[in-house]
Amino acid sequence: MSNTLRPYLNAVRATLTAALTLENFSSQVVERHNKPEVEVQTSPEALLKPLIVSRNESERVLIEPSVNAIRLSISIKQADEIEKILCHKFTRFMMMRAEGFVILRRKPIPGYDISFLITNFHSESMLKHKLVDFIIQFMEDVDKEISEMKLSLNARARIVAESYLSTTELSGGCAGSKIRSGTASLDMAVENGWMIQALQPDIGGFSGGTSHQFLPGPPSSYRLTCSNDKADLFDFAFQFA
Amino acid sequence: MILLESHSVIINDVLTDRFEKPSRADIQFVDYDNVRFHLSTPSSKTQILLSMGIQCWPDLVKYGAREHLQAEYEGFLLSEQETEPEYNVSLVIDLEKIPEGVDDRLALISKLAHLKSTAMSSPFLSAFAEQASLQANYKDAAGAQAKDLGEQGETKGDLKVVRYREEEAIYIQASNDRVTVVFSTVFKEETDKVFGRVFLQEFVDARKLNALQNAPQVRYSNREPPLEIRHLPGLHNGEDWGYVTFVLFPRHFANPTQSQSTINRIQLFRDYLHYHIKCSKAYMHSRMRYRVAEFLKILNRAKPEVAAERRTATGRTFRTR
Repeated sequence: MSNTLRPYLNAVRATLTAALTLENFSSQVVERHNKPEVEVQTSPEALLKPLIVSRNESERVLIEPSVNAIRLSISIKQADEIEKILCHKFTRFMMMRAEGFVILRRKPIPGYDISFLITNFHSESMLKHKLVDFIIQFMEDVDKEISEMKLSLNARARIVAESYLSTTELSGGCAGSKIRSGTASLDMAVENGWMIQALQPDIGGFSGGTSHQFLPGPPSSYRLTCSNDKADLFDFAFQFA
Repeated sequence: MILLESHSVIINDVLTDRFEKPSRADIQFVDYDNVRFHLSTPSSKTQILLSMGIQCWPDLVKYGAREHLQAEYEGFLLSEQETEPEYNVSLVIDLEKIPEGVDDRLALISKLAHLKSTAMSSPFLSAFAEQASLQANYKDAAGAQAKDLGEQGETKGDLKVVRYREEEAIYIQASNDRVTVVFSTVFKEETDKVFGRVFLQEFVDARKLNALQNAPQVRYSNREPPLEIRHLPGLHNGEDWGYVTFVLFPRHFANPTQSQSTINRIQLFRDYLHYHIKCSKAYMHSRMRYRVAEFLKILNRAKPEVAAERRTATGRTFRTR
């Protein structure tokens, strides 16, 4: 975890724990109503000072406490267009399932990406420290998830582009091809039969040790087939000069 | 499956089956880019009628599609009058006259399954032929007055437009040393647009690899159409539009096999791109599903466990106090 993330999360945890002192409080305005004061905003004396914990200008948390509910809004880091869209999709996906996440608000506060509303009923029926744990865990994981999704998108785009162009190129009469998947990469600059034999062990490691075979095709072509889900992607025929 | 197949799997499977054992059929199916197929046996079990309806047929005819199909499917192709209504091309396969050998049959099936790509390849083939003739003429001219012609000496063939979908088109232009293929494509959704940009950027970057130096050059621009086609009327500018340019050099279509595989690959580019955009979206979705389930588990840990009611052997309940 990076140097600035730890103190940021600690600050959020401490603030949230302090703010989560909620009690049952009926509405002072409407009889027999019991609404989260932070949402209805009818009696100013029931509200407490809102507080922003900020890591940098894009990542911040707004905590709005009141006597019977607190509202917590998170702004998630969005460095570029892809992260923005992934973040939007992810938070939307979660908020559509707000039923399951009892403390999740269906709409975020303007300027933030996702909001939680914890009322006194939640804090009575659930363990307070575990609720705080959940919020912290969420903040940790959501960044990780978004950057992982972005990486996987880029990796996929690369494989897609390279395999498309390499086959076009093979048709152009070239003698080699390269496939790459994430960190594992495999060079196939093949000139004659025995080099294929030499490459065989590498491919075994690459496809996770599942069965693989080289079938000698017509004199100048060899076919590589791997019977592993991933490796099936790399099933293509080589044609060399 | 990374690469899309250029043939139609349905035609392949049905014909393989019917070649073994003739039986009735009436199947309608589709392929990429609004292509419709109809495979039927109107008169007898041994007469298979395969019709194809393709949206850009008027464009293809202009570039010699019918002649090309005539040459490729000699003896199968029906004349324009006999073509099934609502379709553009009809082939008749007489199961009593097909070759006996296994290899010959496989070759025939594969040829028939490539019906769409064969029809679509005519503008490419005519561009390749045009390029060859331009190159020949260019050399003649350059021989004597190379210095006079100097910088300006670039000749271009006519721009071929194939409107293969409602709004999207392929533009093909031959010039003396290359053939330029431009795809216009529309991204209907915000996510598609962003993902599409990532994918197209990788297509451009992939060529920097040593192993892919010989691949066709790829360029893309969104919003503005490339210079080759900018003069055309009715082009769209805007965030949703992407223009992808492939530059094919003579080495990519040096012999018939190469040019055929280049054509098969390149005409599926748009489908390939969009297919993988959809795949990534599906993958993201499954990932989010998993992650949200994980979050839900963490949240549920906050709920204190409700002690289950315990019963004695006789069915009485008791509570721990």
